Amino acid sequence: MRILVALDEHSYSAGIINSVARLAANTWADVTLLGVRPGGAAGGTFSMNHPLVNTFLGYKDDFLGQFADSYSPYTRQEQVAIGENNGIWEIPGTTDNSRKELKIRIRSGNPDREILEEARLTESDLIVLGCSGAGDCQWQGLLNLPEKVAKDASCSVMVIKEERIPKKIICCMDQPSVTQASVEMINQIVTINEADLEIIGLTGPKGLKEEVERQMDGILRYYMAQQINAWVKLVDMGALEEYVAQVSRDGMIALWMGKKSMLQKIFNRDLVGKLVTQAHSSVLILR
Amino acid sequence: MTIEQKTSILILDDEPIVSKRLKPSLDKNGYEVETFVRSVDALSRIRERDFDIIITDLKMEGVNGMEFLTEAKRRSPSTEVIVITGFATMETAKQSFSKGVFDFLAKPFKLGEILEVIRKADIKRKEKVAAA
Amino acid sequence: MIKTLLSLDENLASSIALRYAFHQANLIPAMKLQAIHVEEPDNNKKHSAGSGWVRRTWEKGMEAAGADEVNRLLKTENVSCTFVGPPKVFVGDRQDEILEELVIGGYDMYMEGDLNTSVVADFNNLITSDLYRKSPCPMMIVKNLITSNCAGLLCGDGVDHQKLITNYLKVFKNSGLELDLLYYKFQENDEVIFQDKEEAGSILIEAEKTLEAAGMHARRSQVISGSPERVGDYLRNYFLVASTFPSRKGPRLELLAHVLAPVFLCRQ
Repeated sequence: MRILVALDEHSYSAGIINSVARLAANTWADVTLLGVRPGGAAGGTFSMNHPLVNTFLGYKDDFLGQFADSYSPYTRQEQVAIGENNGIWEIPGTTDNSRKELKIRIRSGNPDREILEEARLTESDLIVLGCSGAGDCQWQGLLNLPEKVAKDASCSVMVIKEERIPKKIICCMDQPSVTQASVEMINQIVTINEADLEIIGLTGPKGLKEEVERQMDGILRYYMAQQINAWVKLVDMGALEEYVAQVSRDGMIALWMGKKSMLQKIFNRDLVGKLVTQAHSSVLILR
Repeated sequence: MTIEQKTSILILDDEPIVSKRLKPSLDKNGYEVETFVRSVDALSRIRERDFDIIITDLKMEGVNGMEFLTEAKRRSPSTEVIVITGFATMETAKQSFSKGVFDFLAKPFKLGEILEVIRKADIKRKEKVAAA
Repeated sequence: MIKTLLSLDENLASSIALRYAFHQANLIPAMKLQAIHVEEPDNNKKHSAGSGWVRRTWEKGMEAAGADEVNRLLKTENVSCTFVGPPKVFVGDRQDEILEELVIGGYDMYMEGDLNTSVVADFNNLITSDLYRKSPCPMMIVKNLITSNCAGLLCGDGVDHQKLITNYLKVFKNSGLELDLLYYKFQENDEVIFQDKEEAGSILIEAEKTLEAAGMHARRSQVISGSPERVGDYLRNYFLVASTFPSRKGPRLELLAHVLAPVFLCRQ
């Protein structure tokens, strides 16, 4: 698994390092800590003395500090060396013979576009990012960045709102397009958190769509075969916001985003945006 | 003139989609691939012949992946084992490495990632053969 | 023998109910299942039914289609439940046909799948339907497939615990399931609070005595307070939650509507 962690210099970013380390400790993922500085003159000249470098070296140390024992997949690179390729700066955090890789990458330009481009380029399986808080999920100075990344990424996205282990993962489905990767991502998140799994079928005026019901059946069978306890439930689209607000206090909300999702048409405001903004918990957008 | 033997790979995963996804790509890259969905069948096969590389899931009915890879390494210590798992934990990763696996990949992963791991395992194996 | 009528359609709710019934039949060797399926003529097409041999032929066709549906489900699920006979397939009004079979067949329990919506009105409509109101036996609403080994008996709020325990034990006495006696107190907050049985006055203590007289004992007796949503969620891991039919709209009805576990309801 490859995890791309999008970070800036603010406390909500610093606050997700422990959660990312926990995820990485279980999945032995290759991890990239990505920073984006403003493009052009606004970004200033870049060197080892740039404040962003210090911040990211701190993140790297915090991350590696969580791996103390001899079985750590990450072998620390003691010497800090910075390299540049096509305007992207890179600092290896691990040695060449490390079992798994940790690196810092600093890009310049429009942050949400650069995050998405890095995820595409590195074939990331998951983008992880923090945000300012439960009811106002923002990055300082960048309007709706978490929401934009969650909406436009081609891989799964996890927006961490607080450092809390969810008791259940609540996966909402309104369309039958579910990828193998998304099901596997849920497996990992459920396993790591030892959480219960709830599969929510979203119903419209005509009830639950037949193809969604069939997909829920398939998914339920899959999880039963994997000995993962899964509960099913139906929630009316109109009551979803209220439901999310209620259950996200001790659960993590996940949404299966398929190409055929009608959710965006049904809601006045975009559902991904709503979930990212309004959920109390972390949000996982599955692709 | 010597003809280089193809690197043999055994894939064991109880989810058929994993082998279905991997096999065509590995075939194309010149590997000799056998796939299994039942660990008991894979176990019978490694008793018949050695493989250069084994890719195995962990959580399976019957003989689980950890038991399978232990037996595979016991029979053929030079075989490089790559663990792929949908239910990764720190413990299973540590346990895998203590058994001498080459790499541990948590699902989901992209095809490119596992192909890269297989390539590295193959290089390591060939280096060991050359050194011997 | 514990005769159980299991209603099946070709959908997710029935698929869950069938797997749950299979699990239950494994726990209770005396349980014998009878599958039933009712083909309801589409109202828009009812005139096409015709009369005389035309109608009989049409009914035969409907029955055959219904039998195919149930057999497909049984084949898909591939469960080896002990059915007492082939599925019974009827054409007509679903509730009327099932009710008639319940009355004629002398069943000990009726079971069907129903996906939880947590909408109290949906649950209330179900349990106040003719089928539930007139049923001669306890009813099991399977909302999820739970395979734990403990049942919760929900007392208080008008429940005649003697009737509840008698009806429950009639079916589940030899199931090996453990038992918790629960008393629910409505409280509008986000937390689920647990209190000792004494908080329920003498209700749980009396229920314990009734159980003991029947040769059983409760693993735990406790008062649970919280909103119906939160407590319903907490009860998700029970193999089933048993209670009597709520006689009015109130906290117990709301709680049972929100419970994610299967619900066993009996009359008092």
